[in-house]
Amino acid sequence: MTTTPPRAATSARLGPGRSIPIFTRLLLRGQLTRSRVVWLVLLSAIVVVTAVVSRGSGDEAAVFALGEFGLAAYVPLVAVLLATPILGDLVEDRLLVYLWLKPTPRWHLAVAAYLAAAVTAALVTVPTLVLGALISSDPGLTLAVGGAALLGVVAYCAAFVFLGARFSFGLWIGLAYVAIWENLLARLGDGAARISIRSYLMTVLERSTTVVVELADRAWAAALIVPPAIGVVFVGLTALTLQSRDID
Amino acid sequence: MELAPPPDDAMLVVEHVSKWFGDLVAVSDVSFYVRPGVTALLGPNGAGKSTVLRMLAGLARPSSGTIRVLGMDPRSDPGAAANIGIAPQQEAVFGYLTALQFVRASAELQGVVEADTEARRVLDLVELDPDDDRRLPTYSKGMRQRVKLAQAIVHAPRVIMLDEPLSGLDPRQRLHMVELFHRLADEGRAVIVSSHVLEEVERFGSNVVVISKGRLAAEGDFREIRELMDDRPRRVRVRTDRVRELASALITRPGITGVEIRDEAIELNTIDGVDLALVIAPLAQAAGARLLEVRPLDEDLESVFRYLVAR
Repeated sequence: MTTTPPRAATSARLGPGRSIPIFTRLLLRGQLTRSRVVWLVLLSAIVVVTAVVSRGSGDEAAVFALGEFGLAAYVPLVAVLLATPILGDLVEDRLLVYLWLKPTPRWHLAVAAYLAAAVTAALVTVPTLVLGALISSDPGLTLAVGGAALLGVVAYCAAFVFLGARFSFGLWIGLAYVAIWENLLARLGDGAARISIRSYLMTVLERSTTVVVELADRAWAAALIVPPAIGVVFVGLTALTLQSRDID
Repeated sequence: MELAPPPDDAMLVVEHVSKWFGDLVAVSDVSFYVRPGVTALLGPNGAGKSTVLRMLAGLARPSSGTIRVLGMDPRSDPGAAANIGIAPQQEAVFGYLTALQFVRASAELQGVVEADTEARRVLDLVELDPDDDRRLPTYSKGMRQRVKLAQAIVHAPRVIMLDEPLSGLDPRQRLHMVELFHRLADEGRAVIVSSHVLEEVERFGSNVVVISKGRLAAEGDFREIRELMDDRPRRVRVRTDRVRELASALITRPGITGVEIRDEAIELNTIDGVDLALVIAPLAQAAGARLLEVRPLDEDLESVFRYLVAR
């Protein structure tokens, strides 16, 4: 055993270029727990099976498989599964203190949590949906489905990271948003559809097909701009939550 | 009440700090200073020690009052975190990290230049093997305590806060840790150690802040507080075969302020425990009584703290 007491370590306040990668690396390592991997494999398998089943049944069947299930259910479910626990579990397990009490602004941690969730979700959903598009028939859908999935990950992950950091039951709020708001209320009126991430993704999908896609009523520019804007807003809200909440 | 200005070397200044959660007042109007050295934050479980520590570290915002750590607000100034190391009470650890990975990440996030070297050095200091490749959940409670301590000191902070750091350690490790606290303090750091065990605090050093029911019960040199505790009024139960005779003899003693007979035993109040200890046997002998039991009724720490608060 050494008997030397700790010497003064040379330390300096970290900029975002150094702190965010360290936070992200730490958070990424905790992402793929066994139960989450099982869910991700199961959901991804359903996408692929749906694509196989719809193969040769025409564009409508392919768009239904990739849009109604792939973009409207699979992407948000993967996002809620990966994004709500990324800070939420740390809060619940009382581990956030080890990341919070560092000489960095809170937004560094918020951005890192978002990146860790979004990178994992994108690596899971985009290749799966692109594979689904390739299987189901029309190769022209591939780019649209991949792009829409990416936009979905950008928006959903930010919103769900915030919900996990802010509420102890963030996962359930996220699931309720996807199931009730996006799948029921958004169909009832344009106002509700506007605050449904799904409608922006469907707009991107519809641009690449002749099939009419439900809820694809947004302007093309809005479909490309709003999801990243949602991402920025919710990362900001996550940073504010980390700034204001008491840490156990 | 106006506070005296803090001494020049005060590293932490706590002024009129309160914290409430809804209707529950967890900490009420607490003020004290912490200077370099080991300071023990003493109080029973649920007294508010952890809440005070969390506020000192900036983890919780006081509902009222101010806290300054090295002149900075620990809550709003992230720069304060570079000078604070905390080992929280909770046992939870990152399940997917080894001790070295955990302590090294902490060092990296504090901007320590040679993070790996420093992490290995402090793990060695707390008697853990840096090359142990087991994940943290497989560690015993005592080993986890030492990992938490290592991550708290890896960046050589000037203020170190340790919440019940000796729990789960064996006697030899406790001794080693207390020595380490003193060595850290001797380098001019403020080491704040919370505990609910009076005997443990006795080994930490001379500065004590006693918290009970969220209030500051006492503050200052441990020896003075120990004397206060020793001098406090006590309630004692005496069982004997001649209850009335011994009660009559006891009531004549000047330090005894009340005697009653309850369930065939004597219960008395004394303001001089030492005198009672000296005279009870001769008094019983003189009264022809056999002493069956002499037992203090309020020796638990809660009673001691209650007395200090009410004083």
